[in-house]
Amino acid sequence: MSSDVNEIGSKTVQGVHYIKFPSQVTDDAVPKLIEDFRQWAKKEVQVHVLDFGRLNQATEDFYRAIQGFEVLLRLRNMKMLSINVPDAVNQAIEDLRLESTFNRLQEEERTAPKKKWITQGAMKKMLFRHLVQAAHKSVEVTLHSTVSCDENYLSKVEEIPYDKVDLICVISANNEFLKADFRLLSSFTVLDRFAKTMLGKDVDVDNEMRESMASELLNMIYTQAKSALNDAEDFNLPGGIPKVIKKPGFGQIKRSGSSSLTLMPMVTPLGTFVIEVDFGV
Amino acid sequence: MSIGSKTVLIVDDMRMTRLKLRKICTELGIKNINEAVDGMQALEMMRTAKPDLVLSDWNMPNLSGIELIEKIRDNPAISDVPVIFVTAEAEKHSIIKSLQFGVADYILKPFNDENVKAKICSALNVAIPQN
Repeated sequence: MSSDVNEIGSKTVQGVHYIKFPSQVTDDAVPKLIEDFRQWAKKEVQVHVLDFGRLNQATEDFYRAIQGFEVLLRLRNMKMLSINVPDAVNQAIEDLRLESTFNRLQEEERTAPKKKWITQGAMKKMLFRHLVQAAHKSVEVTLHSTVSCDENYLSKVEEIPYDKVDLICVISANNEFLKADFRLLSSFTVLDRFAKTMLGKDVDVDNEMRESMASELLNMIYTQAKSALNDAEDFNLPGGIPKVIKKPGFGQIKRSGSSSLTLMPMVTPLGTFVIEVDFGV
Repeated sequence: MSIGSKTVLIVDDMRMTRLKLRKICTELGIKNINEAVDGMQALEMMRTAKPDLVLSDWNMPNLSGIELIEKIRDNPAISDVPVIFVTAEAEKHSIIKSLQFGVADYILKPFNDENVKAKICSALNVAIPQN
């Protein structure tokens, strides 16, 4: 008998409750498991993930207990997902006709693009709102500071002091859902203050650190907004790796006209940086 | 084994994040801290020195964090090394995918230093050092 018999692991990772089954679950463990399921169903999470990767032996009572758990979750509008399902468990699920209960994660489901019809105006509005929220969180947590951004997120091109910009970071989003450039514009002075706040005031900030600071800030803002919109709104925004453009190269940026360009100045006590969203690329 | 003798490998293409995570590890008393700029370099480094813990970003050039953990799990010499993702990638399907590959924990950027310290200590199976 394996040493991990009936040892069921449970942890919560960023809103996902993860349950890991051992190599064997005997009938003796099922009453305790049913009680655990009752408690776990009360957790404030969106998804419960059942990992069957190690399981090679379980009885019908075990599968029926999971069936009951799935019903409890459905009543509470929570999802259950099965991962790493071995052939023996697949067979048991099919023999017991529990295919719909176990919601086994398939490769095609993970990679299938999400689709949602939405007007461009509504999409942009949600995108800007999430970018501002992400900027707030990034600056608050990373720099222990605050951000204020114009209510309509908008500035005119002539209001942006481009002559004071030393560094531009770009994430290009390009898929069937969205084609846009997300740019972060900043001066060295502001980036130096950010870097010193993050690492300590005695740190000597060099150009590589300034580039990395700008890249990481844009990465955090864009990826947080993307994640929130893809999860909550069924968007299909792509991921992206920031690219740094230094001053002599600014000319390579083909900035669109005002109808396709949104400028969001992010004002912090440490200085201002600008997020540009260019839909005309 | 005390926390001072543990080895941590930090994998991130952003130097500021590597420096910040190094600072956090140093404050915990960890002395052996190595850095890689992407998954490819991390794998190379792990061939010669097996770390006690990997802290890895998700989106990186050459070899992403999820590809890195997949390769770690496929290599019997290092398959048992715990990996914590430190990433801004917060989509549920990404978190589930990382759980499939046996990620030890998942830290969302922007992160709180104390939260990172607690998760590092938990993955290394050591108590959080008291100041």
